[in-house]
Amino acid sequence: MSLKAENLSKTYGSGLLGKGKCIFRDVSFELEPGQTCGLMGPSGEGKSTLGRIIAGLESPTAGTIHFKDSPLSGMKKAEYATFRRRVQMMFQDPTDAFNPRKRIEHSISEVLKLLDTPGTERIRRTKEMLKTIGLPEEVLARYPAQLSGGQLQRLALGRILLLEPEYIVLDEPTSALDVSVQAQILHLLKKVQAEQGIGYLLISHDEAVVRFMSGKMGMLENGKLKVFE
Amino acid sequence: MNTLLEVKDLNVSFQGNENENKTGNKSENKNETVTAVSCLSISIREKETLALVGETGCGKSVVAHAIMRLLPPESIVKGTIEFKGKNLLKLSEKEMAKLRGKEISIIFQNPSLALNPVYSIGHQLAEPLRIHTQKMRWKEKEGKKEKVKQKEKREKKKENSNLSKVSRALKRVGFSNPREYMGYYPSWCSGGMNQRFLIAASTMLDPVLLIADEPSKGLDRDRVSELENELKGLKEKSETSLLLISHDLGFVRRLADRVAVMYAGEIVEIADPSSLFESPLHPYTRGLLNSLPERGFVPIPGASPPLSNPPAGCRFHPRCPIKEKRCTQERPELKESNGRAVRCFLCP
Repeated sequence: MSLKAENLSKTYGSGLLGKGKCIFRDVSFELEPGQTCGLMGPSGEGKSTLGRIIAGLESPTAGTIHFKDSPLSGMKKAEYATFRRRVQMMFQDPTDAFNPRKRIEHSISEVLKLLDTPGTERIRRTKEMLKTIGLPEEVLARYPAQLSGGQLQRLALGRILLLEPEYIVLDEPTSALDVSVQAQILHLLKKVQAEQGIGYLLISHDEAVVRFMSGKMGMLENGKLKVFE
Repeated sequence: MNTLLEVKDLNVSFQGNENENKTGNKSENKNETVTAVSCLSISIREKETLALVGETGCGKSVVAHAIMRLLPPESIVKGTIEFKGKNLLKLSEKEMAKLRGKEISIIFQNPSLALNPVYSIGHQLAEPLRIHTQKMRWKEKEGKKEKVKQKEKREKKKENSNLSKVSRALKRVGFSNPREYMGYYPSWCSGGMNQRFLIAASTMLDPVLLIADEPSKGLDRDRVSELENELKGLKEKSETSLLLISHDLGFVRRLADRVAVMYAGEIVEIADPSSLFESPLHPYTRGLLNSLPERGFVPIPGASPPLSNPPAGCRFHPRCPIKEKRCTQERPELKESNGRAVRCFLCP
């Protein structure tokens, strides 16, 4: 049931013109449901790239990802769609994650429409989701600019939860937030994990955050991944 | 030490404009006034670093922009901002333009956005020099042909001296071959580099007061410690006072001489960093410190109130763990004792 990465490598800019730049090489690790794996390292070392590869947003230059014991490259269309639904990604800046011209309700219900959820069911699930993330129903009528960063980050997580993910790649989920809001979001993430058994890959440059959230930690430095418990 | 800047009873409010009414929620936005800063009084002495900390949206940046007189025209600013005995709010735009960059300077948050993407770094760094030395050029009489040649020569000289000043400023912020970087464009450089360019630009004319608005935001740890050394060096080398606005508490602790904590547009506590971090008085300050990583990420329950409709009484009472009946009805004043000030009925 795990999400496994085997010997992943990524090279940018390789083509006819030159050799390109190798970001990382031979990176292997495994994510378990209900557990958090932390990923640290200085900026520019490819943490986010690795996260995007795991979430299926980019393809690796070499290596494979196994989701539930079947490799991503050999997947059929329907299987791949399930993978994309079950593995989600949460980004650093929540203000960029919502369409500024649409009300929150629109951005949230877009996800459910995609899943062909009927109208009444949509309302019920949205209400349930708001309860989980601890926000009042009034926020649905607002525009992203009318909400704080913390509220938007909660909503970004809520929107992901509607898809019932098994794994979430958290790319610096709190680095755009204040310390007090950061603590709230981290506690919320822990609560959601305990309730729904989601596996996290937490990317952060803040060691304290990673230590607080995860048992397993990896350090990406000079293109290599060092894993320590 | 003399007081350099004294802000007294500053009130800044914004009126919800009509455009917003059309697109936004009509009933909510009608005549909605947002009071971003209310009754704020702070003072900065010469060579002192005062830090303003608080959550995003509590009005820290509005204070900085009010001091620089950079708020949009629809904002309503009341109170006094005295800088070297002059009330900045009463100055004309022309007089203010003379002060900006020369006497008071600001480092904006988000360095990549604060720099112009289409001009080179060297061009942008020389801008304060060009603007504040232009007056000399106006005074020169034009007309006589021999003088025109002399003038051209002088201008070339001035440009050269500008260039050397820019390269000296770049060297000061840690670029070993400044001539190369002067030809760079902001998009070629990382956030940390752009941040240092901005510091170089804003300290070019040795301002007496430097306002740093969230200088550490979006930088990773190595860059933050570099920036810290930068600002420390600046304080030691020149006699600049610093108004440091940040929500990074560790950064503030290492740099500030005094810390003012803001919550929902008000100052709730002022103290020196060691006593503030070791024995915070106001319940909000205590909550804020408890949410730090080293104290186990204990969050404050609830969220900060909307500034358009702050709660009656103490603004922190809906989230306060020790509130009494009085807190929900009366508004506490900022009480001063032993060099500390706190806005709470229940604090000694």
